[in-house]
Order: sequence, then C-alpha cells, then structure tokens
Amino acid sequence: MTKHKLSEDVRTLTDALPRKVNIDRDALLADFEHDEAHEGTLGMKVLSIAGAFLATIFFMGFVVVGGLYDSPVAMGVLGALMLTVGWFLARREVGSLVAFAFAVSVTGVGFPLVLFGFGEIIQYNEVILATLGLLLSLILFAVHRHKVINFLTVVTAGGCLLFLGYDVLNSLGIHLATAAFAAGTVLWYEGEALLLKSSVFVNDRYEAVRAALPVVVLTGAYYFSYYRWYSDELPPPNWYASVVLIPLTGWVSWRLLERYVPDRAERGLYAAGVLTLLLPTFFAPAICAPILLLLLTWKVGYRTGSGLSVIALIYAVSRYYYDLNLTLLHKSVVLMVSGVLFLIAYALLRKKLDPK
Amino acid sequence: MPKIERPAIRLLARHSDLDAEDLNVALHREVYADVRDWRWLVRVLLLSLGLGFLASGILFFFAFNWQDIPKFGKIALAAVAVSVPAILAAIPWLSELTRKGLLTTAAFLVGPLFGVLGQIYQTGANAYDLFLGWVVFILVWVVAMDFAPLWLLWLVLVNTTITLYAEQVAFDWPFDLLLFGLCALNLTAAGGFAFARRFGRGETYPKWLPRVVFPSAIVCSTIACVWAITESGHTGIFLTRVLPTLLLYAGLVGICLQRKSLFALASIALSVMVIVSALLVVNVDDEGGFFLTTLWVMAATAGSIVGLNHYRKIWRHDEA
Repeated sequence: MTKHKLSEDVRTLTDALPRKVNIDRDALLADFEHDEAHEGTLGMKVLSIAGAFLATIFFMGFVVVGGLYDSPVAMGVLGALMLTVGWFLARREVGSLVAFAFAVSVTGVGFPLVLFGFGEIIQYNEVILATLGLLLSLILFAVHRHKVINFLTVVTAGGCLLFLGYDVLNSLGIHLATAAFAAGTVLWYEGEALLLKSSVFVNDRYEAVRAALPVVVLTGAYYFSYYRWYSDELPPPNWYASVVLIPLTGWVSWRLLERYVPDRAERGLYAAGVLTLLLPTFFAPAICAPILLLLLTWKVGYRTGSGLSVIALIYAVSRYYYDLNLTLLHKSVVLMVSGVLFLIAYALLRKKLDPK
Repeated sequence: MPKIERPAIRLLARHSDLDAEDLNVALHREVYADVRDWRWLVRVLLLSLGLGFLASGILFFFAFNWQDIPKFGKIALAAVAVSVPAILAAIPWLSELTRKGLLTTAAFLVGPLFGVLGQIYQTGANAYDLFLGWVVFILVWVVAMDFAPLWLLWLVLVNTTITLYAEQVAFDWPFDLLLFGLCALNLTAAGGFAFARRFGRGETYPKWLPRVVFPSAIVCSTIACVWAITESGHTGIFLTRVLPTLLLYAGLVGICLQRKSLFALASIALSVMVIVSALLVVNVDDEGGFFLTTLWVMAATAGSIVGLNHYRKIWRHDEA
C-alpha cells in the first residue's frame, strides 16, 4: 500500500459518510509510515517465524551440548535477559527492521530457556510448566506490539491451554478447549469493527490474534483427526466439540444469509440445508472445524486463513479413514450421502450462483 | 475500482472519530467478501466437496469388507467409479468448472481402479508400477483439461512414482540425487506454470499453483543438501552438492527478482539459511557449532528480511 493509495482510501471512506469526519492526519500518516517500513509480506513473516524457530532449536542444542542445563538459575536468568532484550528491540522507538527481526529470534530463544530453567526447579511438573508457559505468553502478548511476536504468543498460549485441557480432562478437555477457541475465533472475527475501535491496545494486536486463532483451532482439530488406529485401547468419543462447532457454523451461515437473502422463508430453507450438510460431521469435528474457519476467513477477506482451512479440510477428510468410532461402511455411506447432498445443493443453486 | 485496503480502516479506527458502526459498514462494503466472492466460493465448495466426498466415500466403500465382494463386482465398481464422472464430464451443457471437477474426480479414482486390478490378478507389480500407470493413463486428461488442481494431482503422482521407483527398484540411487531430481522436476513444472503465457497459453494459471510447486522444489533441494552434508561428512560434498545448489539459487533469485516474487525469494532465503546451518553444525565441533549456528540464523533472518523489504519498497514504488 502506498501513501497515495491510503489517502485515496481515506477519502473514499469519509466521502461515503453523511457527516464530517475528524481525522488526526499526522498521527495516521506516522503510523502508516511506520507500518510500511517495518511490516513485511506473508513470506517475510513466515521467514522470521522459521528463523526464530531454528534459532531456538540451535540455541537449545548449545545449552544441552554445553551442559548449561546443569544450572537452572543460569538458564532462567539468561532467558529472562533475552526476553528483555527482545522487548527492547521490538519497541517502536527503536524502529529498525533489523532490530525487529532480531527481536523475534531473541524472544523465541529466551522463552524456552525461562521455561526449562524453571522446569528444572519444579522437576518438570507438566501442569505447572504449561501454566507458566501460558502466563509468560500472556505477559509477552501484553508488553509487545510486534505482530509476529504477538502471533507466536497467542499460538503458544493456545497450545498451553490445549495441553492443560488434555492433561486435566483428557479427550474431553481438548474438545472443550478447542470449542472455546472456536467460539472465541467467531467472536473475534465477527466483532472486528468493535474491537478495532475498543482501544489502542486491541487495535494494535487485532491482526496478530486474527491470524493466530485459526492456527490454535486447527491444532485442536488435528487432535480430533488423530484416531490412534494403532492403539489397543477403545478410542474416546469424538463428538463433544461438535456440540459447539456445528451450531457455531450454523450461526455464522445464518448471519451471512441474513445479509444476502432478504426473504425470510427462503433464508430458513437455506439454513435448514446448511444444517443438513453439517450434521454428518457430528462424529468428525475435525472436518467441521475447517469448514467453520473457511467461512469466517473468507468472509473477512483473510485469504491465507482460507488457504490454511482448505488444506486442513483435505487433511481431515483423508484422516477420517482411520476413525475407529465408525466402521468403514458407515464412513463410506456418510461420505457418499454428504457428497450427493452437496451435489444436489449445487444443482439446485447453480443458476443463482452463476447468473450468466 | 479497486477495493479499499484493510490498513486504511484500521488506521482510521485509531485516528478518527468514526464509530464502530461506521467501521463495520466500511468493512462490509469495502473489505469483506461481496456477493460475487460468495457465489464463487459456494460454487467451488459445493462442487469440490460434493465430488470429493463422493469419491472418498467410494474409495472407503472399496476398502470395507473387501474380501466379500466378488471379483467381477470389485472391478465393475472401480470401473464405474472412474467412467461415470468421466462420461458426465463430456456433457456440453455442464459448466466448464463442473466438467473439469468431474474429470479431476475420475482421474483421482483411476488409482483405486489400478489397485483393484493389481490385487485381483496378483500381477506382482510394485507399487510404483501402479502409480506409473496412473500417471500415464491420466496424462491425456491432464493436458486436455489444463486444469490447475488436476495438474497438481498429476505432479504429486509423478513425484510419488519416482520416489517409489527409487525405493523399490533403483536401490543404488543416492537419496540426495533422488531429491535433486525431484527438485529439477518441480522447478521445471513451477517455471512452466509461472511462464505459461510465454508458452502460448491464453491466461495465466492461478497464483497458488506455482506458489505451491516452487517451495516444494526448494524443500527437495534443501533436504538433499542437508542429507548430503550430515551423512557424508567429507568436504568434497560442498563442491558436488552445496555449491551447485547455491549457484542454482543464484539463477533463481535473478528470475524471482524479474518476476517480483517475494514469496519465492523468501523460500530461497530460508533454504540457504538451513543449508549453511547444517554446514556449520557438522563442521564446527561441540557447543561452539550450535552457538555459531544460532548467531548465523539470527543474522541471516534479519539480513534476509531487510533485503526482502528493500525490494518490497522498490516494487511498491514502481506500482504506484
């Protein structure tokens, strides 16, 4: 985006309103220029996340090979020092792209150091360690404004909560946590305008959270698609999350229908159709979760999220083969019936979908 | 008229007296998917989920209680699963997208058909034979339909065939050379997709196709180099594997700069970072190697981002 395009966009937006809009143009331009200078494309963000990940692995290798793990206090102090340096470098006042890139790596390295340092002291108690990881992520989220770091902290906090859910309540816990994250994702996406306006703190972090929440939900969905086909144990029920996921997807669809289908009776008919198509996913929440995310991300124009959802959907269907809760025949019938229903829906809507 | 970009709304939310309702209206009007976008998605989604689920259901049905179905029944089912969508794809009044989707489904189901034939007649063929037959059999459809998802399916099958051939027949093929071969194949394909218009194709392929295939090629060369470095351990590997790869990357960087592809440049940068890291860890002993590699990764990440940002600014300026 260029400064010229920004001016045009602002003019178009304000001209469309019936009243005069007061804008602090200097502050707006300063923010824009800062973002333009320091925020990269998707490829650059992926690169900085991958770089931080690699740096963390190698530094942990250094810690292990060098025998530094013998001193938990040293690890903790070094980690805390790195997190502080990361915070300092990521501050807007420092303002250099190199500093920002270093901040991501240094924070990525410091985080596990603090955790492992503390873990050594508490004899690696899983629950305490995951809680500490969650708290540390939330603190970093609160103090940082850098998008990549905020993205990583939300994903890490989500991972810790999923882990805690599993550790405390087993399968039910991870279902509950994923359902809660899915509900949170819907609220976050549906309330964009309200959230952007709510405070500078939220405005700064909105995009990072928007990108991170689907990753957390898909992590939970990955667990749903992991059917432990090699295990002798009876597989746990795999539908708890569907109690939330299906109504959520129905609600998102209903909100869309309200916008695009004015006739109430027709809208009800479409909603019934959507629910009919979603019901077969009741015992396969790993399939429903990406469908929900696809609708949400597509709606708000977050195309990377849509791509991720499509990949997750394909993966979930391929994993469905290993679901031990149903026989292959049941799964085959569910898939074929769903496929035929989708095709019938396509045939019925074809003319409306392609008015030409 | 191009749509308004999201940053403008985010900045206005912060630096103006627009209220949440104004912003919501602006987001819906300017940024969010409109009727056309939804029509496209619903059309593609219903069709692909319909055909995909149906094809998967058929596949699962074959897998169910397979022994109880008589031989002829097995072959007939598999043949019908391929021929029905293939015949439907020939109906002219169906939309182009529907026909291409149907033929992609048929192409996908050719594999199970060959699997069934191989199992019943106990041909004794290797798994790679099945994939090779699959690749050859659907090639005509792939070329005739010229449909991006079908190309991707075909490319995945070619990669699988070569990999299985190396595993089951060509035992003496070095692992790294196999991966370099796959890298060359995928690079050629990515180039073909990216430069399709120059080769006389009317319109370009969707952007996602080269964006999927190109990083796949880079992943192959990266794994090949890392494997060669860690497995062989002798310095000659640098001249025979790493240096040619880096030279290839240099050429690719030139092409990427010409095509203004930051995504491709980022994947090359990441690959170089990983390869050099492997060199450092293997050649510098003990903890020093890890420490040095950590510094290298941090410096390389920062350097790459600065470089990429430099080109991003230039290209943005050119566009303006």
